[in-house]
Amino acid sequence: MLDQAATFRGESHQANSTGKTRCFHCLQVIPKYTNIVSIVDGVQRRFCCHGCEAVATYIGDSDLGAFYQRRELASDETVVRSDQEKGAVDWSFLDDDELAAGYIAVTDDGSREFTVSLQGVYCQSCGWLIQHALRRLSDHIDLHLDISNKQLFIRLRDTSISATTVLGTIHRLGYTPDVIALDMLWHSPEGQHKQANRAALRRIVVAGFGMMQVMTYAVGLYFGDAQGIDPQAHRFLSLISMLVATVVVFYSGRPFFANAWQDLRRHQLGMDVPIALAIAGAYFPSVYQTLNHIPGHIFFDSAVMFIFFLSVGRFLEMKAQHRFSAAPVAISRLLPHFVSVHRNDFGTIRISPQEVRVGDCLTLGHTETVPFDAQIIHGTVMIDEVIITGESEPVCRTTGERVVAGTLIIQGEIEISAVARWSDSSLAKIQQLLQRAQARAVVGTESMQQVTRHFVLALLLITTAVACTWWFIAPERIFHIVLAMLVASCPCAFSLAAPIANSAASFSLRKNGLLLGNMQALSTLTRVTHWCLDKTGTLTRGRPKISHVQPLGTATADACVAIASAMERDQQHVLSGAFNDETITETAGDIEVVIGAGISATVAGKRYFLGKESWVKERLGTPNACRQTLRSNSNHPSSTVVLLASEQDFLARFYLQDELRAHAAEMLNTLSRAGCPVSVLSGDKSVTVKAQTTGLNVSESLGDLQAFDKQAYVQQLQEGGAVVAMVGDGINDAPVIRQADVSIAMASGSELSHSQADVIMLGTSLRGLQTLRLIARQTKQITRQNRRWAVFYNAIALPLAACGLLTPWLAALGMSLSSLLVVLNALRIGRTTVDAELVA
Amino acid sequence: MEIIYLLIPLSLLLIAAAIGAFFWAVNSGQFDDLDTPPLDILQDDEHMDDSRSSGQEGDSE
Repeated sequence: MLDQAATFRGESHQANSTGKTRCFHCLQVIPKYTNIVSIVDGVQRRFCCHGCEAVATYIGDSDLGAFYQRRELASDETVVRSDQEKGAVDWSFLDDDELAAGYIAVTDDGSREFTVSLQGVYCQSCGWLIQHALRRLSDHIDLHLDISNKQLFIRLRDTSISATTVLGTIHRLGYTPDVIALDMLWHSPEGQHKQANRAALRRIVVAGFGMMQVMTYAVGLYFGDAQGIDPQAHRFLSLISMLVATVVVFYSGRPFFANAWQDLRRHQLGMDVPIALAIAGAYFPSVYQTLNHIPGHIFFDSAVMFIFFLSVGRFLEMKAQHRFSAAPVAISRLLPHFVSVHRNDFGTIRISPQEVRVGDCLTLGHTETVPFDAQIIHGTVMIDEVIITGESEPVCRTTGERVVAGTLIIQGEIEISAVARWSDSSLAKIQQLLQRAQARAVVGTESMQQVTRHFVLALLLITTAVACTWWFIAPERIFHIVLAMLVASCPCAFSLAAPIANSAASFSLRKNGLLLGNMQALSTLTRVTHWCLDKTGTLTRGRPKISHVQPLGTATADACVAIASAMERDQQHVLSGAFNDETITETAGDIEVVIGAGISATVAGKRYFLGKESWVKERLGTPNACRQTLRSNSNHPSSTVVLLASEQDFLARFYLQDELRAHAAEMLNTLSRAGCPVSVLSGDKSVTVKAQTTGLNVSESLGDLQAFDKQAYVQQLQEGGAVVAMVGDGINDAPVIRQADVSIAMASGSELSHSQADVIMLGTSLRGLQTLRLIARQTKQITRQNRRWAVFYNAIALPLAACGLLTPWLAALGMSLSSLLVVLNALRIGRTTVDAELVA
Repeated sequence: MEIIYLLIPLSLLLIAAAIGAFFWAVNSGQFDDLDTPPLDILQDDEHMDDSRSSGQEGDSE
């Protein structure tokens, strides 16, 4: 029964509730007129494209059809990509031992090991599919898939299959594999994170076990003191406690001491100075007491407890940071590993894009990435420059014009000649900019520690003063009083205040689809006075829709949309998506695409032209009848205008506009109510930007901006005293994202800008911004409460300890409770939602 | 109570062994990826293959 149900569900996916037929493989809506049918596992399935069909057939033929059932069970949202159409990637350099040396490690027993990063892997099902397809190649293959890092470790134990075959197989399954260079593996941020992660885990476990032991002994000592323990047993327990605590303090506590020492060497009092001091303050006197048989309380349990709790806190913080931290390497990953170029004196040679010399020539076709900054010698292409400009609309580049490294050719073929070395290329420049901007972030975090520094300094001065006073009153009590003061006022609660609130905030942000990459960002968010938003892909979805149809001839608007839809059905151009009339049944034939201008095709026996106004007019000449209408409406304030004409007549003008994201207006209203001006910065034409933002609560909208213009704009605002938040996507936003005081990236943007932004929004709705502001505010509030509590507690406890009224064990208890209170208070963050806020 | 002089060092030895085992596990990469393995257990291939073949039969009828 269950099995049949599973199969049945697989069927039902093909026609889901919306009534649209979806592709069996990628679950996208199948474009109209597409009738690609294939038998997979004995059942007839429909597909959206031949790429998906090829992948599904391959999966079916390889007896891996269970993938589709597995995916059913995993999630309904899963969308499998098929990058089949992107053309085969050339992995043949891995067959060349010399070139492969940097990528494949050969172990002593002759097996070859390499790691592949996988794009397009979203869930367990994808992982299952890849692992099973590969295991089928050979029995002598070991695999370990790390889904969270999207990395697949592969060990080939014999030579029966080559690395090229492995990569080819993964690619045939519809994923994009990329072999990772060996020196990148451990030196890459991921590799370093892995090492840091392991070290932290080891320290936590040692501290945890140690803490449990020492506390057990401490119970014996406490009760022993009260009930009269045998002095020898007391000494034994103290010595054992010391032994365990010594291991924990010097192994698990080392990072705190190391950090504190570094701070001191730079003549600063950082957050770790008080922690190191408290640990040392609890540990070393206890050692002294134990070794010299001085009766009294020992504090090994306190020392070990500090270390354990603080280590766990640090570990969680680190994990959060690692997951979202910067990965500047991503820039070079955009480029192919090797390209075959023609160099004058050497003929055709194989080089990495970083080794390019001016004058190297190369021919590039459909779906290839431009490997270096170059000039087009010959040919015309549509090129996707989203990486550099962030704007999704492809541009046309022809002979004599320049193309930039990292951009993707969508249509056409060109011959190019390199015009710059790697170090002078745009991509390298952007990388440099990012690094420079990153340096600024460090300065920011130091200001946060300023308060802690003063607190610590004040504490040390007071303790010294009290110690001096007691020197005159009762010298024999100094030691106990100083210790009680250090423990009671241990700035634990104080230094925990911000980190614990940040961790709680980070957690509740994650629940809301927001990833916090930089803890500092939250406190900055509450101070933001000016918001800047990118347009395409941020304020809008980056998918144009028809906003208005203006019929010019006898045909109705609907008929015109139908014709245009038929013509654009199989086109890859961004604007083609706007023409998606599902109801029509006609098909277009004899399609001719003029890159950067338009398309002509035959629909129902008649020839039609669709494209730029100037191009269509050129093809037709302007028919007299329409001249009047054409002129009268030429200034419609819309983004993109496309003209449709038959051979005799103009039929319609389509005004296309990008769709706003969900909750965009609501979010802008909230911001303006909060008194923050909003600027829209875009690389699009000014007219387009103005048209799009009309009716929205936007104080300024600017178009025609390059990446550096945006950065300059933000800088100007900052010089005027504003605290600027930038919401954007695309690598071109990267410089401005670093320039801004706090930056937020939308997840649909290019992966690279994510890694640079402080906050990443995963959802498609702009409501996330409101949640973000709310949580930032709560965090600030609770951090402040926690700090106040810490100061208040110390204000009570310090005098008591200074007067000798507080015994050290009471001080330790008070300190622990005070820290606990801070933690519990922090848990309140994220309890109130945006909706509750709106109602209130 | 003299027994604690034996039991406590013994417990410390056990803990040392436990920590040693944990270090080995960490160093051999068992804690590097905590997301994938818990789900691996749900993937029993026999069952899925069965379901596929029985599904095929159902479809051909």
